[in-house]
Amino acid sequence: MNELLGSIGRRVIGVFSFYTGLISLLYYSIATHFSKRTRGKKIVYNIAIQQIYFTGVQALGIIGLIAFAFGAIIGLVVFQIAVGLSPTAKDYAGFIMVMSLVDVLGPLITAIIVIARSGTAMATEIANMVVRNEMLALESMAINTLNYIVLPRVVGMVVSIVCLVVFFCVVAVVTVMGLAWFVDPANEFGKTAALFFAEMDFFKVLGIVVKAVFFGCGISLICIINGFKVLMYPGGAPVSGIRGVVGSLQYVVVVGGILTVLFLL
Amino acid sequence: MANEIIQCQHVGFSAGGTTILHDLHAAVPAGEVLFIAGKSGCGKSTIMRIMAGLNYPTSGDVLMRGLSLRKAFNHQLMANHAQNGYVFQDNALISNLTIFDNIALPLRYNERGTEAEIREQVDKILETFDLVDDRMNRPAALSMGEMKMAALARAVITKPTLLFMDEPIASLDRVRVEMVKEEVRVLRQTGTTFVIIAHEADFADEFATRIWYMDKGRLLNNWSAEELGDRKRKVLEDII
Repeated sequence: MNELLGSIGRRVIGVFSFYTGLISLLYYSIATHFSKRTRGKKIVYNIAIQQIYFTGVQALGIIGLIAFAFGAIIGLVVFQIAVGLSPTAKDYAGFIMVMSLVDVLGPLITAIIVIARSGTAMATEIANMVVRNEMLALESMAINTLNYIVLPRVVGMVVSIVCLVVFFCVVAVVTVMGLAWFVDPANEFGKTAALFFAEMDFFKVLGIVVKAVFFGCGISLICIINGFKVLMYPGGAPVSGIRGVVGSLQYVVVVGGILTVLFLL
Repeated sequence: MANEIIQCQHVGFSAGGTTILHDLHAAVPAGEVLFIAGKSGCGKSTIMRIMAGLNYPTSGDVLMRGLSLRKAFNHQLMANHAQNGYVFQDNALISNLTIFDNIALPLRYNERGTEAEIREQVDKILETFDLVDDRMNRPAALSMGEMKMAALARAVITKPTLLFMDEPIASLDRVRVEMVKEEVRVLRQTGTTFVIIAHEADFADEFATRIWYMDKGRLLNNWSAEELGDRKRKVLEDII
């Protein structure tokens, strides 16, 4: 029993240390950038823009496709089931489906796709840079790696995920609305749309954006840290990538759940 | 001493339970060309990185231009790095940048001139090191010799007062070796201090004003070229 408790305790301390480390890394990256002594801000902005392009713009196609697929499949299933429900339940079927897509599935699925596309790439890229001494080379040129490597990737990831989540939600909702209009233009579409727009107040939108920001920060920092820790892993860069992905997935599921509950309260 | 650019004060370094450097205590006077010689694995690259401030000693300290590298704040360390150049043994070019951008990076990041001035400087150094045709290529597309020249170009473009070179002429053909030697001659005239690891006795014989001989992490000898006199060539051939 003591062994078990000790093991759980160590695990909890390890997780706590890891996440406080992430917060420290984020803080020092931002603080370094805004320090008067720090140079190279124009280069850092350019890197952030490149990151937005690779993570955000290039993912629009797949995000749009998956959002459409989710909206269509879930919409078809729910409307099919709703045929046999009472009129009141039928009214709310579309609305519940839309809110699930926007509140939960949209941010989560977007985060998972970004982890798969960009998270692995980020962790592996940084791991390879460490192994090839490129990080030391940057330091030897008086280039602060917090400013040059960490911050633009975090900013790029956050901006990309926020935009992609919004894009996912818009595509999914439009798909569902389109289905509702197709199934019963006078009834389903009107009621679903009215209920949806009544619910989408400022705080709902803020909740979705906050979730996306948390996901963006967490995914990028977890992948970056695992990249930097490559020399601790016997498998090298591929293991850094895997650990970045797994850590990011755990993070989005746990933090997404916590934020969903918090905003519901 | 007042004119020492680097002072290693009882520097020790251990990693993974192995002691790599043992109590290294020596100084590098400004303007000297220091060659560090010894067998592979004796700690040459390790001490060079510690002297350059790219790694921390496990014990002891290094003073660079009077600044303790152990106690320095990050901005002080960066200010020191800005006056140095480093040529890595494996070149360490940034793989997702072109050769042009690699060489321009220290100038652009540290805002040493307008973009037009930087481009002019980089174009000039690309011509000097015969890299004009490779300017838009990524490092992976270059040969080892071309990468070495690009790494050297990146290190010297900032006109460093202290230049670290880890195997600068390894895997270079005779023409490129001569280019490297010419660059060393030019920089020596400006008073640049060099710390060089090389396994070529000719190269060391031509330029070394000070020689450290290391074995198993210990500094066994610290010779000046003056004290060696005519024996310099023989000593270098024995130890390199």
